[in-house]
Amino acid sequence: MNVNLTPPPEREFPAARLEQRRQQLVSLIAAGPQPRRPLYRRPWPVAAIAVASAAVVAILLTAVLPAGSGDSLSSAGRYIQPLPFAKKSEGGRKLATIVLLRAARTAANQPAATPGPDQYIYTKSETFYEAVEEGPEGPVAISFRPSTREIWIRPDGSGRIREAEGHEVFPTYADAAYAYQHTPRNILGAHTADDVERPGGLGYTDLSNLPTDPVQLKQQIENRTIEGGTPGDAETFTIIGDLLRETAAPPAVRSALYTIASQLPGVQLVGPTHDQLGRSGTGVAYVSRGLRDELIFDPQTSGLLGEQQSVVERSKDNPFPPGSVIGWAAYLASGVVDSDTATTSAMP
Amino acid sequence: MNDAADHLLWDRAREGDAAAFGTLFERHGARIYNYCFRRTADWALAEDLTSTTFLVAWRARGREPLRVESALPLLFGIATNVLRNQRRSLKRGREAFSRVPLAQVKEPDFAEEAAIRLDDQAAVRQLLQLFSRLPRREQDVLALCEWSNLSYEDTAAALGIPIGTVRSRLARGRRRLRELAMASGPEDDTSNANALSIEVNDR
Repeated sequence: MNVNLTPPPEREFPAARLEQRRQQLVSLIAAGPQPRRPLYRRPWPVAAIAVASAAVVAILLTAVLPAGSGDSLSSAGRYIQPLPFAKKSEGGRKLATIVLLRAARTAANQPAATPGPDQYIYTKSETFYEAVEEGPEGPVAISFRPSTREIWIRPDGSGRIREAEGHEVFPTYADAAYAYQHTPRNILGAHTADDVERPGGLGYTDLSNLPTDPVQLKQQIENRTIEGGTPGDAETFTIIGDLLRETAAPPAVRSALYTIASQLPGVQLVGPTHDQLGRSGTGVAYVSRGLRDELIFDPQTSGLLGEQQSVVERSKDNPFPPGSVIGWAAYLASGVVDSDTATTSAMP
Repeated sequence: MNDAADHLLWDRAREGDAAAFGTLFERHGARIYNYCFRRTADWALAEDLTSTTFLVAWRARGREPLRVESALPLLFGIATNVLRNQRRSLKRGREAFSRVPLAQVKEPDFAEEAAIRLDDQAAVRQLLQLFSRLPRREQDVLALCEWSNLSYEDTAAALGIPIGTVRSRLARGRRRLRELAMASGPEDDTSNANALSIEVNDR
């Protein structure tokens, strides 16, 4: 046995680079504008709106037009789109509980898909997420980014993420103008990222050993031992989503997750609904901090079909009419595959 | 200002003083950098993650008062979150920083130092093969207590869990790590990895 369990000694942060990084950090935070969303939370997406008046548009177009490049602000009009609206909730906790308990029973009867040590969990989704540039007084500019995301995760946390990002979509001309003025051209517009991660790089959560008893599982989630986070039911609902998304939880665990969701006092029923690709499913939702997080599942299989986040109360951070969908994901395929180039078209 | 205690700098940062925050970066950047390296086996990535950690800390300053004199528990806690959510966060963190180009500096190039760092990467990568088999919560406690030498109190504060939980996770994690190391047998690295895979599969 020659595995060394002690890491090598700590090294210096190379002095010149430390100073360089300090300057970068200080100028970034002193400058103010920066993405508002926590960098470490799930990719949420989308939306936007707001109608810019023709006069404002004209002024912005002349004042801020960047010097000649192929995709310039003058062509940005086609990227300015209204946000879709989410269906209203139609039931409170009681109805949501009934529907979620039914989903729990359905989930328990689904076949298991457990990855072997050398296999990958593959998930493909369409997502649309929001990016906010923050200034000292609130958001300066908002944009939304559509993306086709594929992820392969192996139980050792290695794997691959391939994301084909589409062009930003802007709620207003002012947002478009800001983006064209401030965003480096290699980031603005459509591009594809394809990253291979080494073991541990993807933070695989082993769900195969979780308790299948909802009471015990709930306790682990609430103690934040499976995934960290702030206390409270809103975070619990979020973690339930995390454990259903891009994972291969055993059917009994998935079933327990739906059961736990059914017991959250704040859970609401959206009922029969559609994801943003128009596929029908059943929605349940949780409202916190002026936003509604909705999980949409297939009633036949209890598979997670989609998610969306919408505005409940218009705020400085989300200056959109109530109901505006500011982020969504639609899960197109998921399953266990043998390599990080293999895909499946199986539905979640 | 450079001698001011962390909590004073933190208070200034809360009032919007970016330079005070820069001093915290200077003071603690290396600790976080080494922590991130040991969790990823990648020096360049560790540097990005360190920047991201401080950026997240800056954004959290309004809602996170410093409960102890040192900023380290808070920073280690944020770094742990950043590491855990790497797959969601990193690209966006990079995008934020890419708007502020790094100043051009002439880095002295010590071949010997570079070689040592390459060796470090290989060593930590091998270690992580075993380590990544542990439940994430035990990895966090082991990495903070044993690899970054945080006290039980500071680890508890960093992770937001009781001290008793730190102790029990540490004990379980150490035991499991030993078992995994034993199970990996005396063969070479490749067969070690295979042996581990089988062991894990059986559970």
